[in-house]
Amino acid sequence: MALKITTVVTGQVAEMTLAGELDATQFKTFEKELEGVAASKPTELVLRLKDLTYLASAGIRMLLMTKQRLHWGGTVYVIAPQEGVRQVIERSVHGSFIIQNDYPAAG
Amino acid sequence: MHLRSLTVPAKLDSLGDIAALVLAAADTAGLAGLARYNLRLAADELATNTISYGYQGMAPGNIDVRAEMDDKTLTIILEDTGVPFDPRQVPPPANLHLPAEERELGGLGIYLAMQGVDHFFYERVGGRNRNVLVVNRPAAAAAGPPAAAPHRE
Repeated sequence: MALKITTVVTGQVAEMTLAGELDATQFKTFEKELEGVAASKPTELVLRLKDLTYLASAGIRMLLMTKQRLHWGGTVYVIAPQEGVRQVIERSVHGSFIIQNDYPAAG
Repeated sequence: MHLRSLTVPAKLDSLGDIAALVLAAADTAGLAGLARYNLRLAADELATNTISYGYQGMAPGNIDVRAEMDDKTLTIILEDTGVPFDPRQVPPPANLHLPAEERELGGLGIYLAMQGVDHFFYERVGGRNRNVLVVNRPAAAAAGPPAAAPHRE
């Protein structure tokens, strides 16, 4: 399934909504969009993943590489990932990203 | 019992066909939720690795995928004729606990693949890499008939 990305940048907060599947065949799409966002070095990157049905390591690696290459230390929020996607993120970044149900956090 | 098999070129465009075979086999075996996702992830990561590195400096090759099932397990077998490569020898990514900016990035896909199955075997046989992924079937599914008829290709 193709990957669809919608990006909105508001001040220092960049929000990317991903839908579909992000595997090795799709990571170039993610890379292109991510580089455009990260170049402005937002303080917060919000990844809305409710409709992302599959995530492979290629997507995680691209995110980490971009952060490293651009020396970008912004905080990454992962919002409402599905069960499998959430597990991939947790196993890959061990708490480096903040996973929550909504942004801003409810309550 | 043989469920399905497929031979595809070792190209990124083949990942969709491999995923379709693995997910259909997972459905037949009664896998759901994380078990189904993780089996697809494991096959996807290993195939991606073969596609990206397995045939470097060689003529382009294929990946053979086969699904087999018995009462207790579903087995996915990936074979290629690329350079010898034993995924078990890949160390887990270094410093997983470090902030993203400081992490080593190698080995993540293989690490996720190993984490996603109940058993993993590798052997080099007749000039071929053979990666064997085994997952346990849920007890209820294993006790009943397959959810779909076996399919040969």
